[in-house]
Amino acid sequence: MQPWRIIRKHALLTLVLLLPLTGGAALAQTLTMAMAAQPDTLDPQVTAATAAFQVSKSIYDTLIEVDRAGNLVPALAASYAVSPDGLTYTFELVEATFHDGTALDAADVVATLDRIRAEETASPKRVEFQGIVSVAAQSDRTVVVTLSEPQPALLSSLASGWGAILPSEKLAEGHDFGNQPVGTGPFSFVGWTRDNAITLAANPDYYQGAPQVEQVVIRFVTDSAVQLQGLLTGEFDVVDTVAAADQPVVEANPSLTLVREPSGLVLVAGINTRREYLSDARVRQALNLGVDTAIVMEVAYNGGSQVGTFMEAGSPWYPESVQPFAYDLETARALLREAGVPQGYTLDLVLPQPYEAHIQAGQIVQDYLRDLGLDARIRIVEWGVWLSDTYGGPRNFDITVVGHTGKLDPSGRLTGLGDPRTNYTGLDDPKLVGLIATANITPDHAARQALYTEALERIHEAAPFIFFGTPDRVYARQTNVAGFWMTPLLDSYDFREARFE
Amino acid sequence: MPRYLLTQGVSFVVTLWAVLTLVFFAVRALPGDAATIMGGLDATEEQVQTLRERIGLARSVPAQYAAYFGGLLQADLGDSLRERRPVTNVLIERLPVTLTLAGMAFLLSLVLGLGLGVLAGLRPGGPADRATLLFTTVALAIPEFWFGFLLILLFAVNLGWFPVLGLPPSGLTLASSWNLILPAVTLAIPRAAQLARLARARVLEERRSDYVRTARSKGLLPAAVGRHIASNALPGVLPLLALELGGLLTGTIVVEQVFGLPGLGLTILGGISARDYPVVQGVTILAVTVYVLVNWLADMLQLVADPRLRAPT
Amino acid sequence: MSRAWIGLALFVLVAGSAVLAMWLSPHDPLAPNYRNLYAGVSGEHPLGTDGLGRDVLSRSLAGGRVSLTIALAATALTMALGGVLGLLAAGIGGLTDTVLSRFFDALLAFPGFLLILLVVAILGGGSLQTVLAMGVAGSPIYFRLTRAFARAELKSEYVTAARALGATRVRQLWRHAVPNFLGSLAVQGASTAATFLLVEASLSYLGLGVPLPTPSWGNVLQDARSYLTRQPWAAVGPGLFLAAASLSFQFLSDGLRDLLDRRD
Repeated sequence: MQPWRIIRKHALLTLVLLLPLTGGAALAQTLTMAMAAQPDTLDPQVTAATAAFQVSKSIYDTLIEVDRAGNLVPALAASYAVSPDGLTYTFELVEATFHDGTALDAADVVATLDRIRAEETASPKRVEFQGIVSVAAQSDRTVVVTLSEPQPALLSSLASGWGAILPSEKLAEGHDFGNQPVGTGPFSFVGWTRDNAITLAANPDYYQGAPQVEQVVIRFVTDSAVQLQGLLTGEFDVVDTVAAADQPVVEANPSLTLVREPSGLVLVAGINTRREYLSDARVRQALNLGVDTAIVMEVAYNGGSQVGTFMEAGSPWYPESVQPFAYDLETARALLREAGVPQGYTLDLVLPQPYEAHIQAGQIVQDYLRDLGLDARIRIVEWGVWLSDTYGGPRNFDITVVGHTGKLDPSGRLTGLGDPRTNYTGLDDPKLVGLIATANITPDHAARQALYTEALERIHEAAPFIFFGTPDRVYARQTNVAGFWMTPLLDSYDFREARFE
Repeated sequence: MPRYLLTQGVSFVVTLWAVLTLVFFAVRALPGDAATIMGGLDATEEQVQTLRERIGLARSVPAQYAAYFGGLLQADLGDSLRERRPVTNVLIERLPVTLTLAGMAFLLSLVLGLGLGVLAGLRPGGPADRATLLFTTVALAIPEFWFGFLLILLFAVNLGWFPVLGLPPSGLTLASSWNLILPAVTLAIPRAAQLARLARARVLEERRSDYVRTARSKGLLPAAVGRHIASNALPGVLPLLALELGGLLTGTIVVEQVFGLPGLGLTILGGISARDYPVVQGVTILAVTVYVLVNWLADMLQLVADPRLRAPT
Repeated sequence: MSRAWIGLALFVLVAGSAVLAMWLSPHDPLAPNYRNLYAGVSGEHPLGTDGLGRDVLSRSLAGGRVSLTIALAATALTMALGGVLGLLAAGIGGLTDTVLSRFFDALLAFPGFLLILLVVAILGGGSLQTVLAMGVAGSPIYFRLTRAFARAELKSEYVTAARALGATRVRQLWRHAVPNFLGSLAVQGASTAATFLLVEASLSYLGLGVPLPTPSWGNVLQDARSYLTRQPWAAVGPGLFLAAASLSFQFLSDGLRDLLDRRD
């Protein structure tokens, strides 16, 4: 080796070693985002975690996607057609390439949908694809999906994170997508150190055009106080959590921008309708009237809109006829008396850890219930315990606070409600089950809307929840970061147009 | 010697087996399992059951126990339920971070603790003693998570000397050990304080002993006496050192959480909340092994350093 | 001498304020005021209010009762557990001694924090669970200490003399050996109590401590951290209380040791 080469090699080595030290300057085209939650896996077919889909959005593409306005628009499917009976969907694919270099074709779509429908995949979202009878490649670029009965929600399922298209060759090999994801997305996967970071590199061959930043680094920072510190030092370009108390600090800082927009969540306090007194709809309405949900939304959830039924505020499916319950202590007390609830009656109020906002909300609920003469005893349980013991299993709770994530189609939110076996509130309402089931397979939009409206009105009356509302999602970015956005309802991160200005 | 090693080895295996068995059943006593958690709010009971079968949780607990310990004999720690890859890989990825952090913190607390303790003990009531007293009382009165956070505020946010997070996205490299300084200091300070207190007490004890009085009366230089005292006092500090080093492996949990460090502490925290049994068990094996090794090493060192203990038993 | 007194005085002050919290508190520590969130320092709220508009001073005072009770109860439990079993092991000897010693060796090898995490996760968060977890995790040190002391004392001359005079083994232990090392146990105990105060706070940081809305120094301090930028005084209150209590235990421990040393 010639001397100058050695020198150059060593200089490079030194440079590489020093890179993390010098930080920002050299990597100006790297966008760093701090995220509180963390994906469990990057295989979109074996998870139900929002955090997984928030990240995988950048790696994979779906046939259909959601635009900034919340509309379903074509993505990997350049176009699609639905047969008049609503049973056959035909997709025409765009020209796109997977990160491993193979070209997208119809076989990939067939293999992907076959895998999520297979029992052994054990996808938590499998039920959304159960109406599919067959998926066939009509040609290299054309896929035909046949259904057993109309399923207007199919496009929404295909547009969600779990509708991601995977390469058929890798699927056949049994590739580990969970740790080594391969998709057609705007960014290819570089590396993942759990509890630390996921690194993504821009895909120059992205079918919609290469992204503007070269690299996206997602850091996992559970502590909102540390997220804020990193935002202040410039270590993070975008942070996904801003504590209520910190918002004025961010707003007052001209180099930072606070973003506030509606989320797709519905926040509720679920009521166990199989418990004494709580089985009485009057009591559940009294709880809705006796808790000032405007205060709950403002104080615990940092602002948002109230709802009066199980649908996010601002949704086109939200019925105009349903108003949120207005705080009315007197009526609430009267209803409780009418139902014969004794003074000082104790309730088991279960709150899931580590969701600080729900725990705040629970304390506010406890306070209002005291005014109603009810003694709510707070029990804070860990998430795993909550899932197996409160939400599922023996359903040990009287009241519990939780948020239900956004769904593109109302069927995703409503299915199961009214059936005591499948819903944690235990509400038993066969008529409601029938309304939802019919709506789910009604292709005509107006007829479908009418059915859901009736169902949602029924849910308002039955009040199996204390309806809180839809919170704003509040995140912050450096003011010079432009073009970053979050998918409506799904809350996924979209870095395709993100850039520094 | 071979017999000694054999007894030590057997005792280690028995301890490991006992602790591991306890952890094995304890994690399974936690309500909920990995399948329930992965299923989240939307999965039906049947889907959760399918998932359970896929990841091997549908078997009876005794069957799982047999399979796990059978695997252990072949050095197979099983697969992480959540990460769906061998636990060995998880540990290999995480161990260096914690080891580096614990090592840095250990050295720091050793230098700081012993230094301050010996200085303070040699001149009780002097300025060094007063400073040490102030340091130890304050250090032992602030919770770690607050101390770390204050360090971030001062050195990362206000002064900009360090990044907020304990590691760059690229992970552990030579250069990234710079990032580890704040976490290491956070971890080291309370341990240094404890060490300083003990070292001071030992030195004071030695000062009172006969040989020091004799040495003084013979007119030995104070510095030489000091050296004597220090070298005689230090073996007594070894057990505490071992205890601390052994405890550092999981004692890093809080600090890892504050600085977002991907070490064993966060692994076990995540493992418990995700009910990732093999991961919790794997970290336990590491922690127990390190603990036993360190204690054994401390025993040996003490034997070497303090001839009085070498009496036949 | 002086340090023990300072420690005692500090402890009386802190414990007194916690015991008298109900009368000293300007407000109900659990009563929210949604119109007065994150209020700054004022005459009405000397340390301001928290995210639900509750008075931080009142919460710090009430939190002291919870935190001190937990730390002291856990210390008592851990000393009793380790102490009694240590005495048994030394007194009975033989197989009992071997089994107990092995057990506590294993417990010591069990990462302490992991033990606490597991206990709290299995039994659920709460004051009683926290006490139990810390009590078990801390006990091996006391087992070793007690066992070593008891064994040494049993061998020592005056016990041998007592035996010659016909005292029963239990009486030997009780009358002669125990008083001698109770002092040393107290030294260690005060320092354990200081540690447990901080452990309670760390558990709150990890979300495993005393569940809200019940205030403890740990959870009030952790809560205060989340709005530090807005209302830094909220952290000062519980922080100072916690530090003062921890200091008082340390001083008591040091002071006791000095007293014992002088007696020797």
